[in-house]
Amino acid sequence: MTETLLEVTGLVAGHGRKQVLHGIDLRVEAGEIVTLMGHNGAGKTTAIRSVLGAVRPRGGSIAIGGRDTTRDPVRRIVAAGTALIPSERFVFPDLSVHDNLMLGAANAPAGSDREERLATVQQLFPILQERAGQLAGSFSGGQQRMVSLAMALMARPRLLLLDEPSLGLAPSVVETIFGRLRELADTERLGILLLEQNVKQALQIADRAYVLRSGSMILEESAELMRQRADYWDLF
Amino acid sequence: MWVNYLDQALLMAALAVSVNLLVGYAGQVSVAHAAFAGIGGYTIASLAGKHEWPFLLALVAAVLFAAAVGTLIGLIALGLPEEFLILMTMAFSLALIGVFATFESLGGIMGITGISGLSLFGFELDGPRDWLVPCAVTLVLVFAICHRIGESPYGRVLKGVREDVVVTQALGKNAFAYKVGIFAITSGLAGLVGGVYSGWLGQATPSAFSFPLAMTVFAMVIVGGNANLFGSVLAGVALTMIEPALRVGLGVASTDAALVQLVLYGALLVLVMILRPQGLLAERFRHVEVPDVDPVVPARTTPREPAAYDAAEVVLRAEHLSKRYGGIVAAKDISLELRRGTITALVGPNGAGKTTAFNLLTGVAVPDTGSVTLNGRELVGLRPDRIVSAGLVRTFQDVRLLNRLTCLENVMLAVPHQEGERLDALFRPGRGIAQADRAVAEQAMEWLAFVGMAGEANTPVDALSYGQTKMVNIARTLATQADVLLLDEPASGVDSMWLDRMVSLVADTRAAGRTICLVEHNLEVVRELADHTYFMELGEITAAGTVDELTSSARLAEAYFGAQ
Amino acid sequence: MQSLLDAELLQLSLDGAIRGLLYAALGAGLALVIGVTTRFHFAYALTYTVAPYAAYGAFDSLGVPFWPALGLGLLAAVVLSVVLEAGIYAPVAARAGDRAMLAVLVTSIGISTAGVALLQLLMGTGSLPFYDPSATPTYHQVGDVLTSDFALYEAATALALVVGLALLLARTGLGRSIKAVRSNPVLAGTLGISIRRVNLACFAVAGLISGACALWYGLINTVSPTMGDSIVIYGFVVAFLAGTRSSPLRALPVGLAVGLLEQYASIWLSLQWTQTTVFVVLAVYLAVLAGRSRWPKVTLRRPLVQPQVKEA
Repeated sequence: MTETLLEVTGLVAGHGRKQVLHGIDLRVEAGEIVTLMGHNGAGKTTAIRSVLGAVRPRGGSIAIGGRDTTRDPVRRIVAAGTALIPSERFVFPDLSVHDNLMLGAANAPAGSDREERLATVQQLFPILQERAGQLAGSFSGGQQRMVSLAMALMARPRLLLLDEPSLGLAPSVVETIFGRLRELADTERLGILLLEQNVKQALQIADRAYVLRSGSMILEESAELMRQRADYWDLF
Repeated sequence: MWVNYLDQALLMAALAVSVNLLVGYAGQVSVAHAAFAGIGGYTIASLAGKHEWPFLLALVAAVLFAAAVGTLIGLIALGLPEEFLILMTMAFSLALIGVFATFESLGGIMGITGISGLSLFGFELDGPRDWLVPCAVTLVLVFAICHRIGESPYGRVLKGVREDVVVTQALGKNAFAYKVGIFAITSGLAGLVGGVYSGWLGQATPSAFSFPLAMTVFAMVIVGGNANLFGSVLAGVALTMIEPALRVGLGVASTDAALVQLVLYGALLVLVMILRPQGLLAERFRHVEVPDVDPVVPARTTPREPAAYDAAEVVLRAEHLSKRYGGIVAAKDISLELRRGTITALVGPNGAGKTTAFNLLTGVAVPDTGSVTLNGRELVGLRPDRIVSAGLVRTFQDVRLLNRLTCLENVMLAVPHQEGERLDALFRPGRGIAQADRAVAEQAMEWLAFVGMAGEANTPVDALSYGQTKMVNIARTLATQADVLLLDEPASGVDSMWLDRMVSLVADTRAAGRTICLVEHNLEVVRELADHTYFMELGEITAAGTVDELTSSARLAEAYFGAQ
Repeated sequence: MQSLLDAELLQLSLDGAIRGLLYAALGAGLALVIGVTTRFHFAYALTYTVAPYAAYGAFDSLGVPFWPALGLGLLAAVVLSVVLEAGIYAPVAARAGDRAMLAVLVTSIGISTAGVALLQLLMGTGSLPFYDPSATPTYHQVGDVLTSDFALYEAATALALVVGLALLLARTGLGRSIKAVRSNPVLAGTLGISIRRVNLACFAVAGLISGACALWYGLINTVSPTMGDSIVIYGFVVAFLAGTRSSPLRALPVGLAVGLLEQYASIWLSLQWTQTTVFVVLAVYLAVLAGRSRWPKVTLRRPLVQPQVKEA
C-alpha cells in the first residue's frame, strides 16, 4: 500500500496582488518521483513554496503525510520532514560547506543525530568531506547543487521538493544528481517533487508528470506515456 | 515672550518645509539640513554682522553659499547607495559644525555673537516683534517655492525618484540631475532660513546648528506628513510651541521644559511610526476629472500576414553585442533586427540572456563590443534616459508601477518633454505650466482609455489587481511615445482572462504603428502574437524564424527540453 | 626634545589603542545588528547609556553592592535592547512594508531622543558620581607612559567581546543561524530558521557589548546622560567601514585606526579638532568612495534585485 506523502487540492496562491495559481491538484506517493513541468512563470515555484508554507495559500488545501498543513508555518513543516531546495541562491555562499550542511539540519525532526547524518551525506557526495572548510560560494555550479542537495538530506526529509536542480549544469552532472535522486526514492522511500524545464532528463527518473501552464494544470500523465511524445512544444 | 517663540516656530516650520521637499518628495534621507542652515547663519554672522554688509545682500550670499555646498553633497550622494547617504550627511554635518567650532575667525566654540543693527528695506530689526514679519515672509517664501516645485511635474519626477529610481530613469528622466538639483535647492533654502535665524538670534554658534536640531526638524517632517508641506508647517509650529506651552500651561520649570519637550518629540515619533507611518497629514495626489470615456476593451484585430514582416523597414538594429561579467559570458555576439510595426519575440530557456539583451539595448548595461542603431542613430554610450527620448523604452518583468501614486500620475510621469519638469519654467509667471500639465493629463487619460483603465485613473496603484497593473504599465510605456517597446513577460502571472486581454492589447499596440519586442515564456502567446521569433540560449541567438519553424527543429527541442 | 615627543607619541598611542578597542567592540556590535536585522539602530546610544545609570540606580537606591550592581546594569542594557526589537522595531517594520528602513530609523531616533531626555529629567543633566571605594583605578607608570589597570581591563573587555562574538559566529549553532540569516535570509527561512529569534539574539549581543563598554568607560571617565551621543556615531563609522557582512574581527583594525587618529590629531591640532578630524576624514573617505563607486560590504536587503544603473 502506497503512502500518499503529499496531497494538494484546489490550490490557489500568489504574492501581493499577483495570483499565480488558479486552483491546482497534485499528489506525490512515497517512493515516487513526480515531475512538475511548465514554462517559466507558470507557477511551479509558487506551488512548492506553498507546500513548504513559505507562501500562504489563498484557497484549497495541502496535506503532507495525511495531515493538513495548509496553514502551518515553515518551521513546523520542515521539522515534520519536508525539505525544499530553491532554484537559485540555494547555498550560503560566504559560509563553509560544513556550516551549510549543519544549517540544513537546523530544524531537523527531533531525535536525529546530526553527526551521523553528516557522515551519511558525505558518503553520498565525497567531495563535501574533502572540501568541508571551503566557502560554498567558491564551488562550481554543479558542486553547489550537490551541497544544496546534501543540505536538504541532512534534515532527513520524507518529502523532497526540488526547484529546477539541473539549471546551469552540464548534462553529465545532471545525470549524476538525478541518479542519486532515483536511488533515494527507491531505497529510502522518499517522495520527490521535481520541478524541471529539462523535460527529457526529468522524465528519465520520474514516475509521473504534471504540466502547468499560466497557473493551471493542463496535463497529468505517466512518465512512460510522456516519454513517447514526439515533442513538448504544445505544452509550453 | 510668545512673539519670540512665534518667530522661532515660523523659522522651524520653514526649515521643515524645505527638508520635506528633499526627504518627503524626493526620498533622499539626508540629515545635513542643520549644517546647511549653519552655513547660512555663519555667512550672515560674518558678512552682515562683522563686515556690516546689508542684510539682504548677505542673505543672498548665504543662499548661494549653502546651495553650492548642497550641490557638492548631492554629487557625492549620487555615487553612494541609500544607506550610505545617511552616514555621509551625518559625517558631513558633524564635520562642518566641528569646523565652525574650531576656527577662531568664526568665533570658535562661542561662535559669532552680538549681531545687531540689521535692517531690511529700511526697517530696523531690533526686537522680536520686528522680526515677526521677516520670519513670516521667510516661511511664506520657502513654502511657496517648495509647494510650486513639489506639486509640479518636476515634483512628480521627484516622487518617481523616491519610489523607484530605476524605473524613473527607464521612463526617460535623468534622475541624476533631479537628485543634484533638489539637493542644491533645499540646501539653498536651508541657508536662507539659517541666515534669518542667526539674524533673529543675534548670533551664529555651533550649538545653534547642531545635530539635535537636524533631528528635531527631521521629526517635524515625519510627524507632519511625508510630502505634505502643510503638515510640516503644522508640526513645525506645534512642536516648537510645546516648550512654552509646558512652561506656561503646566508650570514646568524652564530647564525641565526643554527636556520634557524632547521626551514628547521622541514619544511622538515612535507613536506616529507605529500608528500612522505616513505622518499626520497624508500626501496629496493629482486628481483629474475623469472624462466620460467608456472603459472599452479594445477589439481584437486580425493577425498579420507573414509577408508583411519582410516588407517592413528595420527600425532597431543590434549588431554583435557582447558582454562579460568577470568570467561569465552574459551575451555573445547578439545581432537582431526589429522591424517597424511588427512584433518580435525573444524566447529561450532560463538563463539564456534575454534580460541581459534588453539591458544592453536600453543602456542599463554597456556592451563590451557591438552597436545598437535606432532609426540610424547609435545608441551605445548614450545615457539610459536619452535612449528613451530617442525612441526605445522597456518594461520590467515585475511591472514596478509607483505604488503610492494614482494610475493617472503613473502614466503622466512617462510623458516626455513636459514644460513643468524644467525648474526655470516653473517660476515664470502665468498659468502656462498648469495648462501644459492639463494637456499632459489628457494625453495620459487617452492612454489609460486605450488599455481600458480610464475608470481607474484616480485610484492609487496599490489598490489595483495584478492584471490591472499590467494594463496600466502598458499605458505608461505607450505614453513615452517611444517607437520601439521592449516588453518583458507581459503575459506572466495572470489568469487566462487577463492573458487574453493582454494579448489583444499588444496586438492593438502593433496596429497603432509601434514596434514591439517581447520576451515571453508562454509559447502559446508567442504563437499568437509574434511575426518573427529569435531563440536564445546561453547568451547567444542560435535560431530565428516563425514559431512553427523553430518548434519543428529537433536541435531546438533538445536545447529547450534537454538532451536525452 | 626628541624624547619628549617620543614619550608623548607613546602615550597617545596607548590611549588611542585603548580607546580604539572600545570603538571596535561597539562597532562590531552595531555591525552585527545592521548586517543581520537591517535595523538602523540609533538607540544603541541609549542601551549604552542605560547600563551605568541602571547600575547606579541599583547601588544608590537599592543598596546593591557595587560590583553586582554593575552586573544589573549590564542586564538592563541587554533587556532594553531585546525589548526594543521585539516590542518596537519589529512591529514598526511589519507595518511599514517597503519603507521599513526609514521607519525604523525614525523610530530609533525618537527612542534615543526621548530616552536620553528622560534620563536627564530623572537623574539630572550633570555627571553621576559613579564610583565606589572598592572601584578606584590604580595607576601605573611604565617608563614615560601612564595608564591605569581599569583602562587595561576596559581594553581587555573590548577585545574579549570582539573575539567572543567572532567565536560565537564561527563555532556555535546560534552563530551559524545568525550567519545564515545575514548571508541568505530567504534560504534561512526555507530551512525553517526563525528569523525573529535570530534578530532577538543579535540585539541581546549588541546590548551586552554596549553595556559592558559603557560601564568601563563610566568607571574610568564620567557618566552623563549624553555620553552615548558621540560614541554611537563612532560605532556607526566603524560598523560601516569594517563592513556589516564581514567578520567582527575586521572591526579591530578600523576601531584602532579611529582611536589612534583621534589621539594623534591632538598633537597638531587643538583638542576641539580631534573629533572633527574623524568626521572630516570619514566625509572625505566617503566622497572618494562615491567617486570610485565602490563601497564596503554594507547592504540592507532589498526585496527586488535591481539592475545596475550606469550613470554615464
